[in-house]
Amino acid sequence: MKKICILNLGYSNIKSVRGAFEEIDIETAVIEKIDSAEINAPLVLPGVGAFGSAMNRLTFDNTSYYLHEAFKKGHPILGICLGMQVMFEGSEEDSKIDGLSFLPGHIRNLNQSIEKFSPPSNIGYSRLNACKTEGLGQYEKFIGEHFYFMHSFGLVDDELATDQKLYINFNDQEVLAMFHHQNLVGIQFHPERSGKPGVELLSSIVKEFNL
Amino acid sequence: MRILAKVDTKSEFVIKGVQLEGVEKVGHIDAVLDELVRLGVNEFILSDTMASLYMRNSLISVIGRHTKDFRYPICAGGGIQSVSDATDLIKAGADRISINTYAIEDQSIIKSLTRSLGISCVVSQIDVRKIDNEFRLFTHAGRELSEYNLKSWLDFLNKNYVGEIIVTSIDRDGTSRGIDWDLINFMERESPLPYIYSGGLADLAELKSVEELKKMSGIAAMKIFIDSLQD
Repeated sequence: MKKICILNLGYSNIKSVRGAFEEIDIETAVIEKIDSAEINAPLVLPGVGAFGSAMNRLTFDNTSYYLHEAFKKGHPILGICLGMQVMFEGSEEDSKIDGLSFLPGHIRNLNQSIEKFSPPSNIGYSRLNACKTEGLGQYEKFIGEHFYFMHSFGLVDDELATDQKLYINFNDQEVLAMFHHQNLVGIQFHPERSGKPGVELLSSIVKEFNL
Repeated sequence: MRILAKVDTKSEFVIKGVQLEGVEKVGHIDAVLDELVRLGVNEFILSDTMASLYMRNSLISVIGRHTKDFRYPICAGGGIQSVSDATDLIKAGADRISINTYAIEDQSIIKSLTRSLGISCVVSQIDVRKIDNEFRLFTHAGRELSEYNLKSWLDFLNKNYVGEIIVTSIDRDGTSRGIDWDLINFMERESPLPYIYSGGLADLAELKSVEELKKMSGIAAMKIFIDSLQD
């Protein structure tokens, strides 16, 4: 059976992420840290909680160093919600703490408007859209599909050099919902809590990663 | 409009009353959750109604049992007095937590919760009833009148942001008499945050009437689902 490793980032949605992978016959193992760049299975960074506390957890035992090595070697890494956000340079949630900086970009507070009512968090099902459909590959079929979001921070105006990107509109902003760039996949929403489409998405990621 | 199931529990059973009183058992939580998913419900609010009385939340084991195979988001609450009570529910598999009684008794707890879990993970659940022409807040699952009126609580939340508010009209709860426009208009005018309304939803057609509201983020219901389960 194919296998993935889920890195425990603290308060986490680990149980439901495991359940969703098991539904598509992927075996899961939960690991507490990484102490070598030789990881024997694709990695998942799940995540609930605050940017700073997740980064502190990744840096205090050198896990972030080995994650970096694994990233450079082309090891497949999937980040979910906060697990996606830590792949970037930093976040307004904890502006003094650096992210993993695998990718360019800063995570912003999505509640910018002071003139009109705008919710501080995006909670609930949102519909995915794309700027263009060419190059989306397996992900094209998720345009128009609804997934469950629960976040107050996100990436707007991304500079990701990939065609595999999907967005949502929140507070009149185009917010990055998911991307696949080289060996990295980041998902702002919760596929493990989005019913059947969520499980299908995980299955597509597994296929794109050629597991 | 987004619609959620508002599932109140007493130990392992789902209960439903009228105006939060005279509760009857609907069925075992496992069976009821399965049925709601079958009806197409895709978001859940679970509250242990006895937790603030008994000082323990029986949902920890319920959610723990379900979460692996449950593909839908759960907001769980009841009797949360500390960050550690909240993280027990999150670790069991809840995606968000809701707090009512103890947030009103100890105002510092909301800040502690949002600091550790993030704003989007915390819900302020309030049960409201009109007394002498004023919306007043009740605690302990609608059993006790608090010193807050709705306006003063919304002012408090304006300084202590949470992800969402769940507001229940106690007078309409379980009645199917239609939603409480008096309360909804008040929330639209005064709420600093998006709110999920609950209480009295007559039928799904009524959802059309709230489509244009700016601050309402959803409607939570249970009676309407129970009625279709029994059909």
